[in-house]
Amino acid sequence: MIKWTDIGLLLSNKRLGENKFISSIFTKEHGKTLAITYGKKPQFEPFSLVQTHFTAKTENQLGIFKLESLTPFSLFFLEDRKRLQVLLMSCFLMDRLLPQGETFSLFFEKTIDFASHLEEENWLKFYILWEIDLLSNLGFGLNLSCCALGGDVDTLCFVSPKTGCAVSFEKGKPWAGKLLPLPSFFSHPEEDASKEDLLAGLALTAYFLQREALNNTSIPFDRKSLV
Amino acid sequence: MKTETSLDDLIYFLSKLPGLGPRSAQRMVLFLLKKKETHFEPLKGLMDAVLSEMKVCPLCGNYDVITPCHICQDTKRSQTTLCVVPDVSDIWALERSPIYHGQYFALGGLLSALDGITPENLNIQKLKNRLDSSPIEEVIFALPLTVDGQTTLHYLIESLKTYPVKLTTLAHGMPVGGELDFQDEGTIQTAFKARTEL
Repeated sequence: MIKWTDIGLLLSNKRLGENKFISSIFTKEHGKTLAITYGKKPQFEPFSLVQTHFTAKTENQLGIFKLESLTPFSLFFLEDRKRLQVLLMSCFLMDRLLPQGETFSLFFEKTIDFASHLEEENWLKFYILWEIDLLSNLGFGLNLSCCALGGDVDTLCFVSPKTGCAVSFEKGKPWAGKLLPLPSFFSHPEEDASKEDLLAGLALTAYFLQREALNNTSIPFDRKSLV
Repeated sequence: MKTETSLDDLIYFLSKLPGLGPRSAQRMVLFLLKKKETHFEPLKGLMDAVLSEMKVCPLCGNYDVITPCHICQDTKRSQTTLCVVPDVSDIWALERSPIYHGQYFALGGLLSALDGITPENLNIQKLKNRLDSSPIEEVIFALPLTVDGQTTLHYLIESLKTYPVKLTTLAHGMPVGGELDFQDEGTIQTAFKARTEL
């Protein structure tokens, strides 16, 4: 018998018959795990932090979750279209992209940290930086620390769509039309982000998420409406 | 489906109905067989009649044997308020309460990006057509206070903002007979936000 208890973020509930769901939960120590939850309706909404009690007879069998609510993040933002959409989008990405059973403890903490920044004015900036973290945890980390064509760290303005490496203003100027704009808050996260920076950031992460992780399928959310 | 006779088939199909399993379906069939004249034959006749007469109301999406449905045809009901609900079951639930006497509209579900349900899968265009063609002054959204329900609400507000109608939603907060100790954080937060002056 396999038994463990962990904290986790509920990502999705898919109906299985009349009073069962297959719930996907991103747990801190056990990574993303799928198991059955019972009830005529889902016990908790996506992006709820829950205490997760998991039991299964064998490693290969679909187990059972018993859940207790800790922080229902999504319920706090039901009246805010943009923040709610961002929470759902993060659930979609984690549900779709995180491999099952692989531990991402640090990324889990960063995800909770991003959710706790949602009340702040610059919340969308934290979300975009979270997507960069997600890419990095999936093995598609962008190299944004210095210019790939000379090591310059001060005037980074572009990202190569082929390599995901940063390019300085001077080196990238001749190919500006082919390169992706790099928002300044990527290299200076403490800075406030302008509307243009946020749009560029969303476009940049969407480009790499779609190309590298989602097999060129689009993310089913209207990202431009978030800004 | 592994069945041998029509009796097995009947038990199998009944067992697939909501709230029933193989054992309860078997009990139900046994009961019907024992009460052939008083229950089985009238039930068969009624099922045949409903199946052949059942219609989907073109105005609200309700099921009825007349079209438009008896609610849309009722001239005593208010013609200026429209209550938007996710499904026909919600129309029937609201009709159990005597509080609302207006028109209805069933969306046919809720938006859910996680489950791939997009605006094209719902009756949103029909809702717009209804608003174009009838003297509606107020649209009441009776959608669940869930992530999908509120995502749908935000989308509808955005879609209908150009229409000259008042948009309202049902109140959210403490349930009738509810005690604070038993409410989750989301309910308490919503109740605080929607507090009223006495």
